[in-house]
Amino acid sequence: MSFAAEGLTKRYPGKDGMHTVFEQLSFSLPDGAFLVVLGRSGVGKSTLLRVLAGIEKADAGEVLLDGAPRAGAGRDVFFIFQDFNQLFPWMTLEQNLTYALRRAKLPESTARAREALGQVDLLDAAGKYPRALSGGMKQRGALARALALRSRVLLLDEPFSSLDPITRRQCGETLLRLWRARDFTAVFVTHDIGEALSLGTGIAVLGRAGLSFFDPSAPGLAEDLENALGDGGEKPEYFD
Amino acid sequence: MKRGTAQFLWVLVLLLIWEAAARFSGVSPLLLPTVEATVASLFDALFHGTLFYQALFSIGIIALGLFIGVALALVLALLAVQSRLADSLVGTLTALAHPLPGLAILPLLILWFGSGTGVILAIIVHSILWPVLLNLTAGLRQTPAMYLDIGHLLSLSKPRIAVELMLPCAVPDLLAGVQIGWSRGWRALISAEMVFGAVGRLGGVGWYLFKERTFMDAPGLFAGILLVICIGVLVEGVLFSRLERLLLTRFGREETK
Repeated sequence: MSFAAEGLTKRYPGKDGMHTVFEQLSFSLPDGAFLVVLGRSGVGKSTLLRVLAGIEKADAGEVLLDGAPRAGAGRDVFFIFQDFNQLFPWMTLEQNLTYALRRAKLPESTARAREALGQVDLLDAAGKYPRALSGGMKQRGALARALALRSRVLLLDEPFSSLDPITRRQCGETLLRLWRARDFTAVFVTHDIGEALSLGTGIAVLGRAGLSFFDPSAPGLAEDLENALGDGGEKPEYFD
Repeated sequence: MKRGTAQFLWVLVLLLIWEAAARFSGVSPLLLPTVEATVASLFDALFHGTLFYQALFSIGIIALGLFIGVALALVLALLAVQSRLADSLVGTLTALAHPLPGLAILPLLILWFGSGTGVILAIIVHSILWPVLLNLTAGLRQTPAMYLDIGHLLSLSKPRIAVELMLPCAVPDLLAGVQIGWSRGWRALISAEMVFGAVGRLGGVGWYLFKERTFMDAPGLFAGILLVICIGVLVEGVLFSRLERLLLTRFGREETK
């Protein structure tokens, strides 16, 4: 039981030929892992997540769930975006969840939606439209949608980076609490070393050479990560 | 002062100027009747004559035209965002037909189909369809890419993504398109009725205007114009502004990547 990538390669057409975002990238995460991927902005962290989610196609390689290659996107591997407005604004919070559940053909959509909203402390706001929610509430709502969908893997693309520091920490704690209580694998992308250290059971840095993994219990980890990030290379900014 | 109040006061000022001009300028009442004579004529035509039914006829036919035009625009726009082939076809059709005034095809339609309600309806649909389609396709294309990504994550089919995720995002543009379409359609209708003569049992407001001109009934003519203005103001100021408030609170746009 695992979430893995094998030989993933992604290229983009640029002004002077093809640019390689990452090449032959491989990793394997056991079920229930929490991997934080660090990288400087523009290094291709978002692209990596989008390819892992199946939203974008890889030029080579495969994404594997439980050993089987995934064909395209699906609710098993869900995405939490950085943008606050990922809930549909014309539906209430609860409708956002029940809509996703019905479309994913999951039964008992109302009960499941309310259960997930309860887990992120948003049951009181179930009937509110997203415009009436704060940034942190919206991101927790998006998290609840993925929880309700019983996604096996959550790909989180700097989901809390636009929040104020206190809300950001609270959201991080909520995520960790849910991760401990529930059975999902998380890949969390950030450019903030502090956030990475507070969240991950595994930490990797995405750079020119692909993913380099770090032992989270190693002494002097923060410094090592700083150094690794410093070597992030001079990739053009438009990759993210 | 509220905008509505200010507008109402301006209308009063204009009516006063009109009344003063009609009474004191020495212009023949055949060319410029008084407000009083016009309003009297309007009430007389509405409640003792046929104007009320003629207005109902015009409103009915424009409502039907709006319904058909918007339905066609919805089908074409939703097809266009799902297939490149449909997109290029719809784009070409819009580019060709949008600049063509409805009245320009009237002689051709008469030649082909004779005169009748169907031809007027065709002209109204033509006047409404293209601006609605243009606005709607532009609106559908403004759907945040993130919503399409979520659609893929939920394994939605293309038609579902178009109808359930893109269409709600395009509601403000659809509404703007319908407003443009309505005003074009309304103008086309009145013009077509004047050119056509009586369609149906009594004809519409346009035919009423034409008849009043023929009989040199200036108060009647002014009354007809007043009615056309009143219907226009009611539809735009009351119906559309209510609809806008109702829909935009729910479907208004948010700042999204």
